[in-house]
Amino acid sequence: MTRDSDPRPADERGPNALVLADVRRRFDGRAVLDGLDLVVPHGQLVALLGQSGCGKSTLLRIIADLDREAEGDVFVPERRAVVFQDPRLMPWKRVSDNVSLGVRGDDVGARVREVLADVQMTAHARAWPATLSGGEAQRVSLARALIRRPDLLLLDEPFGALDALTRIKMRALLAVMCAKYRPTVLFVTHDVEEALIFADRVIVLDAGRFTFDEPVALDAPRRRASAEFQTMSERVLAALGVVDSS
Amino acid sequence: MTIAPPGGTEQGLRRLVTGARSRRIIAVPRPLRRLSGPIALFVLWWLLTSSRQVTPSSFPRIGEVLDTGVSMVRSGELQSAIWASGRRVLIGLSIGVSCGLLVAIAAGITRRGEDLIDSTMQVFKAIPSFSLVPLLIIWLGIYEGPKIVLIALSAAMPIYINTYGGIRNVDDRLVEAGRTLGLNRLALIRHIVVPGALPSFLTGLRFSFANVWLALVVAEQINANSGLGLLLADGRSSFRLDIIVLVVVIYAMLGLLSYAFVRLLERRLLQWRRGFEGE
Ligand SMILES: Nc1ncnc2c1ncn2[C@@H]1O[C@H](COP(=O)(O)OP(=O)(O)O)[C@@H](O)[C@H]1O
Ligand SMILES: [Mg+2]
Repeated sequence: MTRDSDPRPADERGPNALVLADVRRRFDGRAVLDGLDLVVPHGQLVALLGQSGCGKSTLLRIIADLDREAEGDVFVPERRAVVFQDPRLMPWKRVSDNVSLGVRGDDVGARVREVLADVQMTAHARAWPATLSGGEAQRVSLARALIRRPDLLLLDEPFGALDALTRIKMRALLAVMCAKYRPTVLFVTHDVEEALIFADRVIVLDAGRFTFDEPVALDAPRRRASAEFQTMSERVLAALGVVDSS
Repeated sequence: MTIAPPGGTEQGLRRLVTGARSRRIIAVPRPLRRLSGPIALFVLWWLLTSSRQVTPSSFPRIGEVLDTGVSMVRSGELQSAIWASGRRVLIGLSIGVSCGLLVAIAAGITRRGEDLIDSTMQVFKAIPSFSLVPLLIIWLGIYEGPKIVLIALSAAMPIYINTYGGIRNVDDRLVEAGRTLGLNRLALIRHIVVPGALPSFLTGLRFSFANVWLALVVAEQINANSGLGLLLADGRSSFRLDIIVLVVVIYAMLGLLSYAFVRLLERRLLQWRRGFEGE
């Protein structure tokens, strides 16, 4: 597999933040990803939906350069960051040291303070990860991704393990953070409403291929109750093979 | 204790004990509580030997042992014996721990290292280190060489086994997260593998400390020219039970001291574990 990182400064960069061409991945002879093509322009917020086990995480790991056994072409920007479903903080580093891990430069301290303030975790800067709640840990994980100012932010069901109340708050926080840091986002979720509220574009992965790929043409503020929202939601659910008769 | 009125709001429910901590009448500090067992042991010793249940020829009185200890401290004999033995343990332990650690890291972080080293170490693990004594004497003579090597060997094994296991058990997902943060190989080892394996290393260190005192006793029987082993041999040949018991008590105290040291290290280095004792 070939892989190109973009070393040019932002004003010289091309139009896209992610390009996939005929990406395939098999496990023990079974094709999980079976020829994926995708072009994501800079700044787009893309939601990736699919049934459990359809290969969403597999695709994200390939894009995050954690899986080199895939075939096909993957083009990604130099600065990428990942937020996983589990926070994956280093338990032996305090919150601020987790956020600054791998960050270089002489203003790291100030940047850590800023990004922790952004995710409302300033008070926990000196805390050990084991003492945080699930939502707090995931906010730190988000801060750790954002401090790198990623051109491409990969989110793998980041709120999947959180309780419903925390999830609502985290969605709002993510929207604010995306407005501030302006990354291109690939957001894996299994929640259709979450996808339709957040994303500019919704893609469905099914049986190794993208079976649905449409912009979300809904006016802001997006309301679940609106007729357009319901129509779109039903179409995505149909693409997922789910019939919601309620 | 309040009794719920029949038909009251608490009827049929059990009252749980609350406020237990504040109700304790005298709060004995934990270190003192932990000392009570050993103190009881000494009291028992004192009672048994002073009531003539045990004749002085089979077990010395506490006072006798103390007197012997004091006079040996005055003459400087005891200090120099402790120092001679302590030095062997410190040198052997340092060599053993460093070697065990280096080999464990080499085996733990590379696939090739694992194939090459770990199977070899499995073989060494099966050799009781004390069975090497004759070999060590032939190779290294009868002075410090074989003593220190024996102590080092007995310290290295637990360090290797535990650290290697610790490295292998470092959470893959954390290593992956580290990679997405742009950490290179060396940084991954420094920020993730080493701290992740630290608890297991410290467990290994506990076992090492237990082993080295045992190895010291065996090593000093090779040729007791100085140290606590010499005192023990002298006591045996002259039937001085007071000296023998004194040396045994000193071994116990050195052992306790080394456990206290490991506990201190754990408390310092593993504060990040939630609910770690003392936090
Ligand atoms: N390392 C692996 N070895 C074998 N099969 C795997 C591996 N990783 C994922 N798979 C398989 O690939 C499929 C897609 O998994 P995944 O990408 O995790 O799905 P999801 O869409 O739920 O994130 C699943 O059937 C899973 O069993
Ligand atoms: Mg997944």
